[in-house]
Amino acid sequence: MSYFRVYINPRDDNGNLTDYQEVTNDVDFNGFSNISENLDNDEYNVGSFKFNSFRLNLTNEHGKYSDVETVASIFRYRRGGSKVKVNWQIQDYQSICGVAIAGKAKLTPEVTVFEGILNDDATRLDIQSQKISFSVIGIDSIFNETETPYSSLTNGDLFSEALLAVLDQAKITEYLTVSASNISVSLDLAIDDVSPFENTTVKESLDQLLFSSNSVLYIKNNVVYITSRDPQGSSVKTFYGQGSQEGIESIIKISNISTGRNKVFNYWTWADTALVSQSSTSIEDNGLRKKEISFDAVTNSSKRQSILDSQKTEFSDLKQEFSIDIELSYENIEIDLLNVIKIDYSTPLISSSPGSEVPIYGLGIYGEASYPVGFYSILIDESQNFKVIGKSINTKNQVLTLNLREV
Amino acid sequence: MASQVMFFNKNKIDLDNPNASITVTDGTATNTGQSFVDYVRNRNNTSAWLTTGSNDAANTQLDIDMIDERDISDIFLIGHNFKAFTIKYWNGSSYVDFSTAISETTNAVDFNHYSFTEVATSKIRIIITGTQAVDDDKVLKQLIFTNKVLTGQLTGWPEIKNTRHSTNKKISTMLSGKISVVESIGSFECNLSVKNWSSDADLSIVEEIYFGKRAVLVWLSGGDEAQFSSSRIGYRKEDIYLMRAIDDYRPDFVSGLYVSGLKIDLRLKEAIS
Repeated sequence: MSYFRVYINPRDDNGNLTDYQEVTNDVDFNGFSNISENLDNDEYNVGSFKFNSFRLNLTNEHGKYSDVETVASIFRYRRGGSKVKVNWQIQDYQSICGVAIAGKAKLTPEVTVFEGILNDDATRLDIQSQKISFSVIGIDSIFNETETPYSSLTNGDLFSEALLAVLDQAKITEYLTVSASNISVSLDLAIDDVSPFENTTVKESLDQLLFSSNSVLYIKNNVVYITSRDPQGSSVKTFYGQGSQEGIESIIKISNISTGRNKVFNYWTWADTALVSQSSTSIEDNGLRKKEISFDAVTNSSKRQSILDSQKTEFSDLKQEFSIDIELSYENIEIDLLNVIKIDYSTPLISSSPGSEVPIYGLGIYGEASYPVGFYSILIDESQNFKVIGKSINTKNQVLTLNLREV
Repeated sequence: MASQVMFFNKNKIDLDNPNASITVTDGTATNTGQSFVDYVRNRNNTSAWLTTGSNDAANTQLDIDMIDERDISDIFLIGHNFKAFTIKYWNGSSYVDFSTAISETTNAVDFNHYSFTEVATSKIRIIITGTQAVDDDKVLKQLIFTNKVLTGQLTGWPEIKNTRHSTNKKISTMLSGKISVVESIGSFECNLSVKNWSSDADLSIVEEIYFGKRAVLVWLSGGDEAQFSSSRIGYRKEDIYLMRAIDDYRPDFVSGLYVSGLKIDLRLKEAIS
């Protein structure tokens, strides 16, 4: 059976991160919640990124996870800010060369499925069960606890330059790698007035900058990436439904199928101005769906119009959305946010006359053969592409859920 | 002669093996069926490979390339119309016969199973020189290359019980009181139960199924339909299911006597892998 391993990297007496220590044997997996990461997944809204978080329940009879005053504690400086990572492997033991049987044993590397920071604010200790409950939040939550380096910003900075300046500070780079080469925004305009960024958190600045530049932020292997919302590359994998003849069934469930109308916005306006950007085709098809924005750092009307046009282009078309549940495997776990996948959810055909064969094109004779009918009507064709806008691992059932949006 | 339940490993050219490929060569056909020849390895007897415009003189050839060497001891051809054909394997330099040569000239059935001494090979070639109705197009629903799980066949006769062809029916009651039924493709499951099982070979197969951590092909008829009172779904020759143990191994000695056999109730269910 597959297996999760949990590690904590505490700080030493001087506040420096030490090394990861495995704590798997103390983890109560009954209280182990799902692990997720998402891009603009909100209903009725558009966004840039979301924090991941989950609760970690540990047996603490030995006091290893008590606060720093306890001698046995692994925490020497403070609990909050320690790094936590969750690894997954396909079986609960390693295949050892010379012992593992060829053809039966599996290669079992550990893959990191989550890396975050221990948040001490919500820590609870149950005296009766001697269990301690931590909240673990995504490393990107550091953006909420870091101030925007206002003095590093100047009028005329491009969105991409401002994003780099906001992110490239010691408190963030202690956990994450930030590089100009990993920042590629969709709309790169010069900021007219940086004063709105004064006395804000990095999270607040990112929300504004990412939205205005029509870009998204995600973290992979502790590296920050900022890209357009466009899907990345060609399809990485095709998943097959129960009726597919082209591949072995690999979809456990398809759910939350939506036309995507909740995310259609075809009439964009700038607050307190006459600026507007609209899609008449989309308004005719979906009705008028208005979104009003404002962003004080851009004062130039033509730049504001560019931002409105960019958002209108991104969100005026109807794009189907749904979720698929698939098996947790090394191949599936490698699918990243914004990767493209295909779905073949076709229906098996049966003859409309009981007992007769399904007619074959070119051989069926009019008047003799019976028309074929499908098992069901909701179909997804393999020719469509879908980008991954969310991932969630159900740790109890070992199921990976991908949230998909039509490309 | 009745035949006991048989167990094989997953089809070596199963559609989830991305390395395997099949090439069709036919000099006469207007359509060789190359674009859907993979249907013969999709575990499904409701789809097939079919030529268009072929005849007996075409000597239609199927070249199956597995890239890597695979152990093969059994071949199944399911739902076909071949009368005359040969099947040979690549020994590294040429195509040669298996220990028991497969060379049919008057085949009149649509299902064939061949068993021979296990070979390790990367390629197999099928040449079809005649169909059961002269000059018909060739059709083949499933092609399985496999090898046995240990001895491959039980010596005992387990009770086959709790069989179930579930189509996961979702039933809604309408305002009229009638029902609306939505069904899935479905799956097969059954128990193989023996009250006192003492055959070492059989128990080794059972343990391999429980601890192999993979699905195996289960052939309830073992190739003999006639042993059942009638030909029913699940017990026909063509009903070979990829199944996995879904209960836990509970090897209790009968009545707690160490010298007795084991009471085994193996629950199997059709699986994807």
